[in-house]
Amino acid sequence: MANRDSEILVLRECLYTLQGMNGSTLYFDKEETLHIDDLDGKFAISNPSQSLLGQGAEEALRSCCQAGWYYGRIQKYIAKTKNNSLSSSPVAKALAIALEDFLLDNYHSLLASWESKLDSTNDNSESIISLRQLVIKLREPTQQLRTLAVVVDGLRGIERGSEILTALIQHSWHGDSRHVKLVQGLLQKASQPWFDALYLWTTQGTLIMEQDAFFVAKYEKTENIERVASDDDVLNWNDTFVLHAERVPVGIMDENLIKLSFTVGKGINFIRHCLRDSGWKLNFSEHDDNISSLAKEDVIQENDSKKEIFGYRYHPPRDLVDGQHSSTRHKSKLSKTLHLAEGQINSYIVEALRERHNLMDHLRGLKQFLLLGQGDFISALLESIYPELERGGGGNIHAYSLMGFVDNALKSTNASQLPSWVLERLSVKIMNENQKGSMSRFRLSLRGEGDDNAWDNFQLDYNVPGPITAIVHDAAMDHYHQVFSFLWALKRVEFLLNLTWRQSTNLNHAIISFAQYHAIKISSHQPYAQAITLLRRISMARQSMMHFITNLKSYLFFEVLEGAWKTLSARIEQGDSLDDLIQAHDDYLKEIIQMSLLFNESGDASLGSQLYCLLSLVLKFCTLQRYLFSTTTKKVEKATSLLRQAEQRSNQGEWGFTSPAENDETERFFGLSDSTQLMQVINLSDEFYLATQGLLERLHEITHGISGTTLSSSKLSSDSNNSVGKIISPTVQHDQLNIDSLQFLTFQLDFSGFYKLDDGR
Amino acid sequence: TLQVGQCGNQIGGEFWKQLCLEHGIAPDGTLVDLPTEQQNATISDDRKDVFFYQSDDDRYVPRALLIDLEPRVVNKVAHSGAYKSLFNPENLFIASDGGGAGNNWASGFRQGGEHEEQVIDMMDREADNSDSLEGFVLTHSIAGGTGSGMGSYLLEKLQDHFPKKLVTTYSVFPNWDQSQSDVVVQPYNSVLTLKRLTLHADAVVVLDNTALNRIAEDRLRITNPTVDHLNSLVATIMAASTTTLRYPGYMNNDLIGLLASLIPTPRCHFLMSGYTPLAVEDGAPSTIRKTTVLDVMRRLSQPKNIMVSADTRTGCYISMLNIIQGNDVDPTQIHKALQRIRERQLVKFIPWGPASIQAALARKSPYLKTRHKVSGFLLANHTSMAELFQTLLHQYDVIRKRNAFMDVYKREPMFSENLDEFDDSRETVQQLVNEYQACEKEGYANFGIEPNAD
Repeated sequence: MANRDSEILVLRECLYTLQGMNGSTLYFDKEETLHIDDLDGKFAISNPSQSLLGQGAEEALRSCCQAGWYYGRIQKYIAKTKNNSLSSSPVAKALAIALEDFLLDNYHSLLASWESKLDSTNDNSESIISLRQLVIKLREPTQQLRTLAVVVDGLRGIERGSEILTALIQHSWHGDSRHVKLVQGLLQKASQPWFDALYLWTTQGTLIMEQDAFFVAKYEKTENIERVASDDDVLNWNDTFVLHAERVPVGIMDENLIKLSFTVGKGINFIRHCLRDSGWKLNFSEHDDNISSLAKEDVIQENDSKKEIFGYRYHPPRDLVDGQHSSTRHKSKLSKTLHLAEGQINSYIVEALRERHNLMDHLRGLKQFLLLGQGDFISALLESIYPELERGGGGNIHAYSLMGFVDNALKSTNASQLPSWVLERLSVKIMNENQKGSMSRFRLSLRGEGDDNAWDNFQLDYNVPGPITAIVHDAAMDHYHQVFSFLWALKRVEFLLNLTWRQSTNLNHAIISFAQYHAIKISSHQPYAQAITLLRRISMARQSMMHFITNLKSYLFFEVLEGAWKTLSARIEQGDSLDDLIQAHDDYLKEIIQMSLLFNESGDASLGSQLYCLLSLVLKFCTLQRYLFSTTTKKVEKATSLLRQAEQRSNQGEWGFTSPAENDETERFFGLSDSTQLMQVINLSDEFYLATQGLLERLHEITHGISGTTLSSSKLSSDSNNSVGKIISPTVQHDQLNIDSLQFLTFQLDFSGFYKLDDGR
Repeated sequence: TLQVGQCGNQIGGEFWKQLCLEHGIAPDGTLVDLPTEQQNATISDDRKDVFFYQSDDDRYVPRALLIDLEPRVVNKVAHSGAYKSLFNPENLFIASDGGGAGNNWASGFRQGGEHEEQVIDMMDREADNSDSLEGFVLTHSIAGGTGSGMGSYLLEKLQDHFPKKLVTTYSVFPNWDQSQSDVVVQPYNSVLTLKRLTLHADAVVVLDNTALNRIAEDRLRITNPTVDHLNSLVATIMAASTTTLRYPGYMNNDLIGLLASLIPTPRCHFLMSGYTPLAVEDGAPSTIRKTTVLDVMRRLSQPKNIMVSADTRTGCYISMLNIIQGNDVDPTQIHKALQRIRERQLVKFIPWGPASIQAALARKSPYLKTRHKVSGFLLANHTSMAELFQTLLHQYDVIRKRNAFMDVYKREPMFSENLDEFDDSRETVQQLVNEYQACEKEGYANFGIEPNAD
């Protein structure tokens, strides 16, 4: 029995070792090297022939120690995770618990049973355990321990939950089915926190994991989301959360599903925070066919049954035998859930925006005000605000004082019939240097006026309300502002032209009246003829400018804006998701900018700079005229009052003569018979003619897709084939619609063939 | 609106009737509900306040002055007609003696002076009533006594009192070539009025009775059209020309923008108009034509649809505005139409500047049911307008040579000393004709610099 005793001794030592403890004989030193101290020579390891335990004893011990060593590794990982419970990720914790459970169930119980057998006094031979038996019985647990230890070792230094899962999943791709089963068991438990997070995200829209653990993170800039959400205007669809697709553990969801779940969570957040429907819930209730059928199909587990049913659970690819990849089934379950959620969310958001938040009204408001669609309002505004803006730039113009004009214009025009929630959004902004933002404004200041021109800085603004900002985001507002600046400049120029028309009509009346009063022989009076010629020259120059402006305007408004608006309305009507709406609106603005000839072509020949050139010529012309007329009008007024006095005198029976000064003025026709002024006007109108021609040529090139240089070179070498049909403007891609309208504009601008471009056609 | 004289009040009355129909205003000034099938359509986007203001009890009241020297027509419009309660009774002016002007321009002019204070008071009151008064519209005929004489007087005064306001007139030109004109002195009256129109008005829409008659007969197949028929035509024109003001859109929302592009040079401010397809209320059943944008625009450029007896095939257009009324008109249709018109060279433009057909889109009134999907209105400035004036001058010369019917004029103070005013007016009109003719030529810019350039 001595043999037996010592065997029991050794077995006890083994059991210690198997639990990672050091016995007196078998122990690991600090370097984790196994030491077998056979001080008493009991084991006679060194001399197997004398061994009590027989041959292979050392090997048996070693295999025991191996298992123990694996065990130790695993325990170490568990302990480490548990000790750092603050810093380790939920997945790591879950994994530690899973490991612990596994050890408890499979390993500790085994050890315990052995231990009790050792201790038992019962000498029943069946219950007697020998070292050999131990070794045999240990074989399977050792395998398992080995696998686990490998896994755990592989996780060293990996903190992020998703990476842990990825590592585990990769371990599960193993040919050994026992290995696979083991790892998948772990995986199922370890992944639960992650799936819980996914569940919360996709059903509640909340993030429970720390910044970098989950694949969705809050956008850095809007960290304090609570505050922002309670704030009225900001909370952006696209900037609130960021998707880190690389953080999704490999093999759980495919790319589409990742995007889908991201959108779903985002959508819930949008509904809860932006739409302020904090009580809103996804409806997965039983009456839904998809889910209820799923529910029947699956074994309902008690607590987590819901998550299970909805697919928030890691499903190992089991049942490979019957050919059906269960993980695909699982994926489809999750994707079913997510698709269902997406459908509900999208339709809810879209409907809420359309119905409750008056999306179309706001978009129309933007169009009516920022894109000058409300013509009568703009006219009234121009009329009243003109003297104020004309008065000068600098810092002495304030948005609030201009707002008064806007309010008045609103009241007196049909704009007042727009819904109040649109009207209250309108405001005035003075765009100064540092507010300009990234988008370049269309600036029409004449040289020397500097950058603080009140006209150029004036900006109608539309304070887009809460949820709508998702669609009309900041970049979109920049675009609106850009288009506004251009249209406003155009309107300004048009208004000034009309004003000078008014002045010149009045002057014309006045001059003719004076000529008649003084009985001037029209055919022979030189100053009179000169004055009339000047006025006519001015009129003619103005006419060509007006012609240009009117046609450009009708192109912009009817072709560009109306066309784009129609498309937008249809797309908003049809869009089924917020993303669709945003896309539709973005495209709308893009189209407008492209077609307004504002696209960023560079160089002197660009349409944008040519337009600028033309408009500033008009402005110059108006300024010249105003300068001319302001003095003249004063003189005319003075002369009129003198005339009145003379009339009165003559009515009273006195001499109706007029003062010599007034006669003198009449002689020179209020300074209108000045040939230098005539020259100025003629020069300006010539310049305008050339500029228009230039623009037309450029338009012609674009619409015909042939660059000017190729055109001329093809003229030079008409027999060489390569010059034909070279398509220019790789920078600007005009689609067919665009070309059609541009062609129309070209054609309208030169309807009567005045600019003599017909040869090219 | 100032409605002066018999004719002016008649067409004015029709005009308001038409406006009321289009805006859904009942004859008593209250609003009519929209036709049920359109009630849930868009919110009303017309601007009633352009021509109406609202009284304290929310009734719409026309901004109109009804002025005549004899009570008959004003009474008919404002007291016995269907729209009698529409007008503000304070805005009626009837000379107390009620004798009329007897088709005498000079008499009308003189009486204009006599009643000046009262009328100007009324105008001031109405002007103060308007938030943003852009201008005045005067409806009158140029051949009679009150409309021409008093109208002329008012034109002069308007310019004095409201120098910054636009004055547009809808002037009915008399019927000359059919010898059925009832007023023999109408060439005198016309020339005298034309001078004022030339000098004091900013825009004159010429409504030529001859052409109206012709259109009524040829186009509408009404034999012996009545004055009511013609007036209804005029009302259609007037209403159509103001659609862009009343239905605000992107463009032409103010009078000045509308006129400035039509009248490049201030002197040539006589506009011709056209409308198609035409239909007279309770008139003969006009056949319903197919109306496409191209059809409408082409017809607008045909002389026979233009309400001035002048041949638009000669001469050239200074400017041309087509207002296409219709819901859901596709801009591309307009492109095609314009392209076609250009290809066929249907219209000729001035050689000295760029010009083109301006097409404006306007909505249709939801209150009106029309049989045509699209209708078009033309406002054009055409050099052949000179023909009309030339004819007028010719007729004037014929009777002036004989000094016929001068007695009535000599009785009035203006002509008691001499008849210079006649010659002066003739000279002004002649200059106008010359100017129009010069417009057709390339060297227009230098017109008038060298004497006898023409």
